Amino acid sequence: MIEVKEIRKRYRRRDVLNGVSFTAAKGEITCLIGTNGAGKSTILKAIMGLTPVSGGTIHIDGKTLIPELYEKISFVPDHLRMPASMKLSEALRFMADFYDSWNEKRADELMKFFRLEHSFKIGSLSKGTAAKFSLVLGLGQDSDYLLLDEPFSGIDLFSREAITEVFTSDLIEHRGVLLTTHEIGDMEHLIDKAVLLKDGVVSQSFQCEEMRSEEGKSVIDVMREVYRA
Amino acid sequence: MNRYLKLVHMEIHRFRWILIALMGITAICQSSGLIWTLKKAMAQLEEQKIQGADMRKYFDSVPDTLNFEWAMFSTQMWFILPILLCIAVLSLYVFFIWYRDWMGRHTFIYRLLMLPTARRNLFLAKITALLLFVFSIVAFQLIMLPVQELVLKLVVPVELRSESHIVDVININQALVELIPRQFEQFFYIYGLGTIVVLMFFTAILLERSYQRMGILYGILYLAGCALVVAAPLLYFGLDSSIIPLYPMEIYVLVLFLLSVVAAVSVWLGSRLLAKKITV
Amino acid sequence: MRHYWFSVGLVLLTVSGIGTYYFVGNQNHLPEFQIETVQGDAKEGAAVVLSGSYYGDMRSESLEVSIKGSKYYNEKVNFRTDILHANSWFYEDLEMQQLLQDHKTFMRGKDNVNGFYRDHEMVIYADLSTSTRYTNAPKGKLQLSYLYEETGKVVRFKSIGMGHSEDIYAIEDVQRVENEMHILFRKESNQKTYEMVYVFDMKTGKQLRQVDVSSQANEVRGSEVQLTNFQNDSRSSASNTVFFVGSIGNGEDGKAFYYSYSYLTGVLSELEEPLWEGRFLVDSLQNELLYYAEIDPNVVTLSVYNTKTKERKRSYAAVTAEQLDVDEIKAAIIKSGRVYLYLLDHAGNSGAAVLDLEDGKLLFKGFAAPVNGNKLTEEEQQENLHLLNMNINQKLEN
Repeated sequence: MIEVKEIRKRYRRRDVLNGVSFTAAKGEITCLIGTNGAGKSTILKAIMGLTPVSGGTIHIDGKTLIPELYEKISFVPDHLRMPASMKLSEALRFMADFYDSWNEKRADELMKFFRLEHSFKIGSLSKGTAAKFSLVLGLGQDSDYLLLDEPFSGIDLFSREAITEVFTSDLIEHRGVLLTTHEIGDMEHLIDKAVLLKDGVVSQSFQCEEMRSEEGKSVIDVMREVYRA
Repeated sequence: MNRYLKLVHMEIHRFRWILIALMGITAICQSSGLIWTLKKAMAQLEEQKIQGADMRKYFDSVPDTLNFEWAMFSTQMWFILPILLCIAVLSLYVFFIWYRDWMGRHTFIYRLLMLPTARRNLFLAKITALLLFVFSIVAFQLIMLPVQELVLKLVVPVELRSESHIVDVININQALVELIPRQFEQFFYIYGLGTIVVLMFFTAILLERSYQRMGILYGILYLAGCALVVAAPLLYFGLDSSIIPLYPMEIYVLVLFLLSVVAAVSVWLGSRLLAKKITV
Repeated sequence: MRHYWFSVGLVLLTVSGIGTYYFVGNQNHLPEFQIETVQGDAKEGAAVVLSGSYYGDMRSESLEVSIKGSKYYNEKVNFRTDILHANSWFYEDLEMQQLLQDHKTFMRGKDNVNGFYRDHEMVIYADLSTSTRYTNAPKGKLQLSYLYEETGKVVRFKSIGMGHSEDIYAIEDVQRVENEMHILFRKESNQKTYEMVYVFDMKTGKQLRQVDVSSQANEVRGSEVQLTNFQNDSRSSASNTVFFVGSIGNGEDGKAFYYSYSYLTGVLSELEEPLWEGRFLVDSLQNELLYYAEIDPNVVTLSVYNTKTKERKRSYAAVTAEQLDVDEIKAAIIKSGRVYLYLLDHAGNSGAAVLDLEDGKLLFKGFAAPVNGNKLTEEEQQENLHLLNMNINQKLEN
């Protein structure tokens, strides 16, 4: 379980995060929802140790972040973050070289599924293709947790469909997934838990299934309540 | 250790074309300059023979026998310019080796920071790679010298040439005499000092990357602080010191010690910044 | 593994390139020389150092040659030697070496040879405080330290005012006369130099009186005499008299006068006869005995003058170039009971001879010669060797 407790972050005199707490469990898909600039990406980066926090704690399976844990968590950032001149095959080899938890077979299968050529150069990929390859890099690891930052933003419909298909497959099943988005749209039926961020704190956090059955509200309904108010 | 070596290899791999280009430019520029000078000299020798001995007074005369030392003396610029290019490129790369990971949309630093290896290894891999680039270019130049001597032997017929020692060849060139010191002990001091300076700059760069706007100021302060610490024994503890006068041997040992401290602190601080303070 | 070949190759290139140069390539660059003993005891010649250059094809290399061998300047120098040789002229003085061996802590930070005084009881060091030493700062501050040898006790006086003055002071001699300390200063004021003795109370460090030595000379002569202190070889030894050479006017037509000053009486007296005569002299004052050697390419003549008894032994010993079997005697240095001669033999090679100061007996003779085995023939090496100077480098024996 990913446990985030009371994390704070200041950026240029603005309290971006003001005591954010939530959990994301293994086997569940948790979605961090918030408006643009709400700090969703920052939370993911903080969990991944890519940015420091000024207060609070982050624990993954009870441990604080140490380099070894990177074998167990993969991060799919909003952009591909690989050198433009690198070929896809070289990027895959990079991952294989450095991660013990890299599953080469699965990576190849995903490449075929997404119809990506090994000889393509990173710089020449379209946004949709890059997003797919990003996912390959993330899913190619036998990790327990998968963090995704805006996986669908700016992606064309067909790429989106392909990615959604992966989400429902067994590739995701046993992992804990934490993703961020500001447009819940067609993702709603995928997620198990929603965490709504407003003004630097968690405004609401609930299991989607329960919310629907007990209060008859969809995630979008709750969002309207929180953000329109 | 394994991942550290792989990171070193990755840094080398990314730079390989530039390194090869630098070596190639050096080889071509120096060798062609050499051949051109030799051919000109041989033509002039012919002229001098025909015109007789008094012509010597009017030309920059060419000696009766050509050797590599004389050739190096007469071809200085062709040798020095590629060396200056290498120095410029490597100096820029001290900064670029870090900043390239933050540039553009494909900020590779994300991937590097997420690797399951101590962040210290990122720092150490970059310094190792940079040092290797510097030393490999020095080694390449050293290997080129006997090769160029061979070129001289091929161009100049045996009756017109004489031997010279490689140390004389190096000493007659104004750049090489500084970059390739005569004693290995001095080589250690010069390049050791250079390494420590690069470490200081690396840490200053990481300070800049960790603290946004204040970062540049912290970086500059850090550099100034380190310089002061190392210069202190020489400035303040010499024979006429009013604080505590030290004997020369003591100053030497103290300076070495402080340099090691500055190096260690830079590595430690840089690694800590990468681990705890860096932000992407 | 195969895709690491570039990195591994790079490392191999680096190690082999640099390693081969420093451990193979730069060997046997310059020929070795040494002073070969032709006659006498090699130990006597141990302190002789001949320096000059070795001429290469296009450049010359500075070197030093001694009995132990040759040292080329460029091959000897690095950052460490630069630091260690700061103030080497101070550390090369035999007396300073002895003091350093005896009292390392006391000697810390002291660098003026002229400021020492040593007798069987104590060591005194006087110097001008660092912050005002070479400046025009008024009120130059004097620092005194005493070390009592038996007890090891150290007494310090930190800043003794020199009086209001815009002048520059340099310490030339320190002497103890019972409970008073006399310090001879050379004072520079308005572009003129004066010799002054300041007397201090040893117990309290207070200034007792001043003696204007220069004005005494001016009075006797009726015009301004420029005095130059004539130093005893052993700077720190106890001696109640100090000598001066005075001149009026400049250049060749300036006449020279000789004076002695007694710390006991505070009186500067002009000497009736000059301390020495002859041209091209080398001298050495060893307590009350003034030894001097006249040098000429063919002969060196030794004389001694006892400043106390006024007894003079002119030319008590003479050594000719012929006796030494050389072409020319080029220079001489008198040091520690020996006369060192710089010679040029019939083949034009440089060498040295060592004579006993007391009787002129030849103790050592040697010439610089190549040490075997090099690409050039020995003749060519010898031809390229141009030695110009002789220095005497003495080391404390343990």
